[in-house]
Amino acid sequence: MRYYAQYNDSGNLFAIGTGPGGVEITEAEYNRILAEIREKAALVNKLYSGEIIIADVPEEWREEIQRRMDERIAAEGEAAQQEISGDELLTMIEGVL
Amino acid sequence: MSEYIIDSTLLTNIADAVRSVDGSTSTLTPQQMETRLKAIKSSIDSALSALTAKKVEVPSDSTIHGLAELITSIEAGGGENITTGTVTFSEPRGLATNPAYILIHEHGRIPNNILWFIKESTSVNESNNLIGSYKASFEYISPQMYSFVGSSNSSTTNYANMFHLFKIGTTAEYIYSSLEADEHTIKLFVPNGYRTGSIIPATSTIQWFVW
Repeated sequence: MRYYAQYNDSGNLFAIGTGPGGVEITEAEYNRILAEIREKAALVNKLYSGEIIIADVPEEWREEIQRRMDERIAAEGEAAQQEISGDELLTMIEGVL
Repeated sequence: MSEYIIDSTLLTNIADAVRSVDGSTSTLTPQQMETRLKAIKSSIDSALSALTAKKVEVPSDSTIHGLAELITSIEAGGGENITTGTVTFSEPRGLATNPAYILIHEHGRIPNNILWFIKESTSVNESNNLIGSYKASFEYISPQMYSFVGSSNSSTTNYANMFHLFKIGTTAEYIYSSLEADEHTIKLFVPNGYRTGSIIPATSTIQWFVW
């Protein structure tokens, strides 16, 4: 299987994947980057939901995580401003099935 | 072969898609939905067998919703080549540019179809929209198929197991986006008015097939 990484014009990582495209990388490198992507996303989620504070984020990632957090708030608003929870929505939908 | 389970999450996805996207199907009853799902279920094993025979690698941890259409295509075309790959974005990707995304498939010819699906749950609130949620160029291919799409305000929806099947070049019922394909790439175009809040989710690996 071929593993690849894609970078934007600024040289920042854009995506990883398998198959054609991008720059070929090793499986080990792919797995390492994938784990990092998921870890960062989890941190953004936890920060957004108030489970952690920015000081809990590894220092080398804080700037990026904070930026993503700010972008998310700009797009979706504060978590506290959400009108209903996921469970509430699920219950509502299942109730009409 | 592990048993395929029709769970409430999948039903939720369907209900959400039906209600948010296509008014003409909003009268689907739960029984009708279940009928469709059972049709998919009955095709999963044969789809996987056919894909394996075609030497298409199907990740063992994938939930293979939607692959019923692939077996239909294979059986109808007899040995069509299928190209597959995955992509995982480094972070949620706003669709600020056009083309919004360029998929490099290197299929060798212009494909007739593209199917992509999300293998695992996307992060809640990081997935207002998926790249397949623009309603364009999709159609009902068969009663076994449905293009699962998220509504524009489903920040709390679980997007696990979503799939999108597009007939490339078909006339869009809703002009929210378009796909342009050549021998090497498929470009997704999203008009300006529909980019706001449109996000490709991060962390979820998108598996795609073209044929």
